[in-house]
Amino acid sequence: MADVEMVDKSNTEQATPKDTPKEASSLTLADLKRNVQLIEKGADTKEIRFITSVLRQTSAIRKKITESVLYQIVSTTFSVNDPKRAFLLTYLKPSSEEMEIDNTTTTTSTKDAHLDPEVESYLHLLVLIFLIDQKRYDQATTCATSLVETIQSKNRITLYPLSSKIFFYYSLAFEMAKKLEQVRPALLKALRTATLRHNDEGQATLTNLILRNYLEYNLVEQADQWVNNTEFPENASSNQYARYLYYQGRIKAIQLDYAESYKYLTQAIRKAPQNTAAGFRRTVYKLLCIVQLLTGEIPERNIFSQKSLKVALKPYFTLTQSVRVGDLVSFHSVVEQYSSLFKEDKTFTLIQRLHTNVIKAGLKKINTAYSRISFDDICKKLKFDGTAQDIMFIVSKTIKDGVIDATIDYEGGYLQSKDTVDAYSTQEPLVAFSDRIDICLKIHNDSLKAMRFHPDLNKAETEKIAEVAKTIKQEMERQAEESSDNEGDYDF
Amino acid sequence: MDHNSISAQLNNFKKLVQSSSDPSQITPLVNQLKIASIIYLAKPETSADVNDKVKQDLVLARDILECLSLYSIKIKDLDSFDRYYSQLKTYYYDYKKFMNQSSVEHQVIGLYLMRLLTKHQTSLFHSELELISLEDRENPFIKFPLLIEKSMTEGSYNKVVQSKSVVPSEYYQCFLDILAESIKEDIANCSEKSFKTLSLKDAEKVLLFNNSAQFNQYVKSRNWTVQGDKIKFSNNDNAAVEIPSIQLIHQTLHYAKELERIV
Repeated sequence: MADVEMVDKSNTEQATPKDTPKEASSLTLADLKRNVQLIEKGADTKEIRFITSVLRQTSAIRKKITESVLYQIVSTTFSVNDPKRAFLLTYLKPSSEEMEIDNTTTTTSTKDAHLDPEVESYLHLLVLIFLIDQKRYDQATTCATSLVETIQSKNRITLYPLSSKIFFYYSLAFEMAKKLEQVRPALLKALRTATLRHNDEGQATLTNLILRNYLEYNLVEQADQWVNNTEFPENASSNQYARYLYYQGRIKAIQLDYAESYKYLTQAIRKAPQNTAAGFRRTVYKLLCIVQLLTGEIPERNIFSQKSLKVALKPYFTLTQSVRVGDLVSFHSVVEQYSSLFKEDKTFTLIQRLHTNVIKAGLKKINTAYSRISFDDICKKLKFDGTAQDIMFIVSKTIKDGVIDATIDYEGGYLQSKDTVDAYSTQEPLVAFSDRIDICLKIHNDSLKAMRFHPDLNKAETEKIAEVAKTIKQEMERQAEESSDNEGDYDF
Repeated sequence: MDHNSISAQLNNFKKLVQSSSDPSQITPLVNQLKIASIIYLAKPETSADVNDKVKQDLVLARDILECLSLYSIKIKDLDSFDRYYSQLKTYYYDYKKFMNQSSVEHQVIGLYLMRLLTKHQTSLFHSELELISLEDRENPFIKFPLLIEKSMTEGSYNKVVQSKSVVPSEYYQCFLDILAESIKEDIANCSEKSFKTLSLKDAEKVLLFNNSAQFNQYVKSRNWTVQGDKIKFSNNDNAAVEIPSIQLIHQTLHYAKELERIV
């Protein structure tokens, strides 16, 4: 669950712990007031950037917000007769002190009868976030529903950045309340609106939310259809794109298309923010590790030793080890040991598929170690619970899949490994070198393309450089001449 | 038509199927039930529409579809089984909260999983599997197709064949018969790659034939060369290694071109 909150995990907390609670809250209040002003300015001038800059601070403010601060800002910003004010205040309980402030300030705020919908939604959003943080999920869902209704009724370009945030928290509130299923129609409707209005960011957020919604209920087939039949907006932020890639990777992994899945997941990691969003990367790496194992590869060891991931990936590390060795017994014990964790990560079914890979890895090892081995011995070595006949079919399939290079002697009941061919007598080295050369050439060409020259540098600088080079050359020539003269002297 | 007359029809249908009279009698009834389940029985769109009467309708519609789907397997009409199942899915997953679990639900789902296996739609198989909770996967009706799938990917074809004796219900038999055919193909493909030679007698055993005439025909259909009493599989390892001259020329020219660019 934590993985979705990629954007909100930044460590931009600025409030110093030295502040007394009262000072801190008055500071937060001032911050909020400034934000409200900024949003007003943005709404008046139709400049989105003011609003996005306010939203970027949401995560910082989220940590500082308290009930009383929210109460104050809501009660002072809205006019007294505004039904919205009463609605929002039902969620917030003021302390006695604030009641007084409330009474005194109401008179001043009445002059501002008309309030921008942007400001209204912003404050509403803050209340919603607050409710989610307080784990008051039922209230959060009703609060979110009314918020979504208000923003859907208005088509203002300045509301777009707000709306994607709002939908994110709307979905989060319902997810926390375990009622995620209920928001699906609303999300679909909102996506339609966002697409028609060319609200790219909103479209991207909603696409991801819907995908998440499907996958939460394991509706893989629907999710796949959804991806096939919708378009992801190109201009969306890379955070949203990273999530989109992750969801696609998951769908493909379940559908056994491991190569595609691997591609999506590695791309997701590259697109994800590098310093924050540890939760997101953790989730992606977990899945990536399993997918890699399923393709028959062993994930690089340094994946597991990354600082932020080390602890979380520990079970996956032990799992990888048992698959690599091809030890069925230890594989089963690892799966047993961490089964509840794997179930929670929703990787359990994928891990169960690894059983075959473990056998294959084991066979591969046996095949390289023995030139000839009977099926009974293979059974013993793999601790396989079945007859020699069973293992023969498995071996036969492994040979067909190209995992091991060997032949079976049915009458003798043994597996005969083929002599390992000298790799240098084949085309292998040629191909390997050719690949490397291609990569080097590509890097060279790419870096040439990526080079930028300063436009003014061209003439003046190059002339100067050329002049310097000329003088150096002359100098050298003169020296050479002198020395040859000297030599000449000696000759005489 | 109302609820009662439809349920009377359903009972009639059940009796007819039990007494296994000829299909010409049953088919019109099947069609009537199909129409009834679609047109006359309520399908709520939101949870607000659900009341007791609607709930009864839902249960009846589900019963009809379940009976029809089992019947379709009995007469080996597997395409209609697919259709019934896709209708049933709504009742199993979307309307789940309005009614008690049906007694044959696990069996129908298990049968559908078997159906997907016979169609080689493994990706769909796994997507369907995701929908089934981990506890339900322990149910014998569902565990069976899972075991079959595992044995097939692993290559334990023997286990699949042996499982014939432990089918959870007679309906599974039909799918196992279809699977037996594709297993034969799989084994043959594997054998070609993994054996150099195999005596005819052993091959018959490996390929799970119990009839020599059928086996001989099969050997012919696969174009295997028989020498004496042995099948010789042509593994082309000794194909002369050719020097890929054209490819080499292309590569070298490519390098030359790139190097020229650098210098």
